Amino acid sequence: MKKVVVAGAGLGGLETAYILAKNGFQVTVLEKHRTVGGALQSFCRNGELFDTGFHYVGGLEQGQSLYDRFKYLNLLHLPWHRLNKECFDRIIIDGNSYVHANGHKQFAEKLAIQFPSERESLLRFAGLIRETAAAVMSNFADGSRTFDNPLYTQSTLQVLQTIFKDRLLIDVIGASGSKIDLTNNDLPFFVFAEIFNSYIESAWRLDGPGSLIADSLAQDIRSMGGTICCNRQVTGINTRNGIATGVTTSNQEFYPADLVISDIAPSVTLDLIDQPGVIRNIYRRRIENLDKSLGMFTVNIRLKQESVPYLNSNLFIFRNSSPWSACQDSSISDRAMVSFRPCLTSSFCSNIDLLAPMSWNMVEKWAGTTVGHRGPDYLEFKERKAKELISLVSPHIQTKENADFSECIESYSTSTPLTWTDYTGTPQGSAFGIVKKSSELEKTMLSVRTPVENLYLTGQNINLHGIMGVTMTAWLTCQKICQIQ
Amino acid sequence: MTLEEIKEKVNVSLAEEFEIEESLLTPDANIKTTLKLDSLSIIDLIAIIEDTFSIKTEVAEIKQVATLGDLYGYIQSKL
Repeated sequence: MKKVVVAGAGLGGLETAYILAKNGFQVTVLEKHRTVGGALQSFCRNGELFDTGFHYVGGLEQGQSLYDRFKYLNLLHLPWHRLNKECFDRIIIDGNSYVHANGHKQFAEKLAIQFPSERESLLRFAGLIRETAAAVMSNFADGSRTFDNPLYTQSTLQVLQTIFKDRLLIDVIGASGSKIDLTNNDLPFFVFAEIFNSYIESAWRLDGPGSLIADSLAQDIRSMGGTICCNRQVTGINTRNGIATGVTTSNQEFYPADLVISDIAPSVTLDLIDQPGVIRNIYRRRIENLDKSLGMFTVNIRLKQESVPYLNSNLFIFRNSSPWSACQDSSISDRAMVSFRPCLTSSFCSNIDLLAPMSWNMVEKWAGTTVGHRGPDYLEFKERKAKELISLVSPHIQTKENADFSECIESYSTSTPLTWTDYTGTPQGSAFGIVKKSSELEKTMLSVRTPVENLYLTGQNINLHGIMGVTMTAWLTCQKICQIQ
Repeated sequence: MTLEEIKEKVNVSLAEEFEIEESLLTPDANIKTTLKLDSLSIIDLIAIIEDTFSIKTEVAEIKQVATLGDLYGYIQSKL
């Protein structure tokens, strides 16, 4: 039985481990933290669980984008909660409200009520999204991946500007894209289409924390005979004659392996290889110099009991800003996503997460400090940003008896790209990994292969990102290794 | 830029970055079979060429380039 060591227990690491365990490999997953999950980790503040990277997912109904893969991974049994079909994302731009609805035709028709002159274009766009997503699926399905089709070299903004005349409509369509990082204006359209399409199919929250996904995968890996070791940081990838022989961990243990899969950021992975000469400098430089996507600032709010009715949608709020360009003034909070967590025993909300993109340079001066020891100016910075975001979203959150939203808050905690780096090991706290560019597809859409023959990569830095992208990449990684049953 | 100058720059990169023996760097050398550049290395090669000559290459076109001589010609056509 071939031995596989997976470095990192993020979603990509766990999914590849699951697939390989199911296909007869002896799998060991090594995770540096005390718990599995990576970006799916949940944490507890004042008795409430909060999510880090997971808020919702698309395409979980039979026949939709993620259904087959999640069925294979035994994830469909989790307590999925379908968001409002009529409005899974509510977009608020400068006080005006727009809806994203499920179903391709319905999505187009709903928006056409507010943009009647763009009705035909909206229907065409909905069709194009569906066709493109299907083409991506079939391109990636057999483990190969080619970008020869002109479809792959178009940027998202380029495609939308060709289809639509109304600039506001382009903003409305891109508004929920904070889950994709649209401020990279070169985002390949097929990446956008593949993610966007899954949400148009159907959108789901978990009645519980995102860590349920990681825990379910981990439990099944163990029941298939795999091993998962937490508090085991991989500190070296051992090689002989250019072939990986195993990995070494921080407690000086050696784990021999026939195959090594890294769910750690690619540049960090290369630094772990014991003999630097194994990797050409040109490859190393190329990987190190790839741009990282934006990080996130998050405010996790615990609400007073029965103060805010549960909203079965996400809110995406913009004020004097566009989803297609980053905020130029770091002193302003001009956009936020609001995610509601249902209270299982009433029609109210237990807690709310506010998320806003945050670039690394806003927190870079505290890099090198550790959690809880970053100094009073960092706390002051976080407090100021939290207040800005709360003030931005307050007018748009319905409260009981129209109370001021700030009065509904019991307590809150915050996290920045620094927190993300500490807990997930992602360089620069990047929330979506390496920036994918339609003008440099081959360079930015990294291959799962590496110059070390039996060392493979997985996770959201490779290929596609988000839950959907990471899952598709896990298949790609495993297809390089075996014929998946 | 003359073909000779292109040849010189490409060969220096191949020798330095890819550690290929200079005796192999002849115009009829096949990039995949003689120089043994696999698909990962080809992407690195594209990155070097684009930086060195300040040109934008098309992946589909690069894939048609078989020999080193073809590569020199391709670069010249892009300048």
